[in-house]
Amino acid sequence: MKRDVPDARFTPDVALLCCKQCLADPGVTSGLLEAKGCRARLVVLPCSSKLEGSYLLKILANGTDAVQVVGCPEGACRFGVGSRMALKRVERARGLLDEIGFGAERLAMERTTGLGRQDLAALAAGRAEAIRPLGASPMKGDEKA
Amino acid sequence: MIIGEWKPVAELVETLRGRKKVLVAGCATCVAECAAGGEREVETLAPLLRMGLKKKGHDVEIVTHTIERQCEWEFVEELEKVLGGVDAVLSLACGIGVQAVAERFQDVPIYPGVNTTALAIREEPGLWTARCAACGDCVLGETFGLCPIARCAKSLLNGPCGGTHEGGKCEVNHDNDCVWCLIYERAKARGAVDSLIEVKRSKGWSSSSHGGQKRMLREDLRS
Repeated sequence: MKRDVPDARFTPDVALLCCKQCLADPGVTSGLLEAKGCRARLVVLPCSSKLEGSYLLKILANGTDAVQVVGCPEGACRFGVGSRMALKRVERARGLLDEIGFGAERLAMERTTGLGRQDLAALAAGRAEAIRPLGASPMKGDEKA
Repeated sequence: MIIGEWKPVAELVETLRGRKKVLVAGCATCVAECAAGGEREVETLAPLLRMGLKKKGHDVEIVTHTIERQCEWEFVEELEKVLGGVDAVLSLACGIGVQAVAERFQDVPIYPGVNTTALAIREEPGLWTARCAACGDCVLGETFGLCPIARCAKSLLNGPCGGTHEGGKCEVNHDNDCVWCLIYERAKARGAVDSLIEVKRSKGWSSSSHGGQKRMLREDLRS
């Protein structure tokens, strides 16, 4: 699956799906995010548990190179088990991605809080670096439902 | 309810290789309850199939549709409107639903996306256990409402087998309770342990799955 020589010109598209409770600044809203080495798009969620596995997989199937989910640490979720359930969904989706040879690295979840714009950018950049050896998504330009 | 689980996705990708337009058909009843074949699972599997097939160099259009029940003709009819141009259907229903769809739409290949496994109950979120084997000769009245056919690894009518594991667990699978321990406890609570001493006669199995396809006929319901 991995390419022998990563393409240095490859600029991954990264979707950053973040629970709003993880943000230090409640004024941060969904939109493009300046991040090193990638094109990052931030989507602010009311709670990471709003995510379904199907949403995550559809984002990837529509050509996004990587998805980074951000939820609250264990015990800090405003809804009790929201981020725990989100993590389980992410883990299941990662297993399925591996099963089809697509690369589990294209999807990951971080559980942290107090994030500013720079932290968010760093998370997106980190995910971009993690998938760089995989290269661009085979689904690029295949944007269907 | 009938429970089932997805076939391995890699296997499904292989099955659908070379197809141009695939309908992933869900069933909103039993298999939705056991998180194998309802709308949520259909919408999860569809992008996976697209990605899996693309990874192998195959472009495929996937359409999705979930109907109330794939095991009733009236509901199955609804699939006709989404079959235009479809060259394969992946049904996430139980085996009954798959067969109904295959019988109604015989021109299109129908593939099962789910392995149907049991008649079960949801014990807690994320855990289902078999409770009935559809043996056709119910003994629950003699076993205090606990089925030894579906829940004992050996389907013993006169248990326990002697291999019950510590803590009342089945020797075959330690995750499962020994149903004969449960039957004993329930009999004891009801003051009826003596009823278990009587040896039960062999059960008739001709009404189980050994006599060919089961049929049930009610003349009073036929027109």
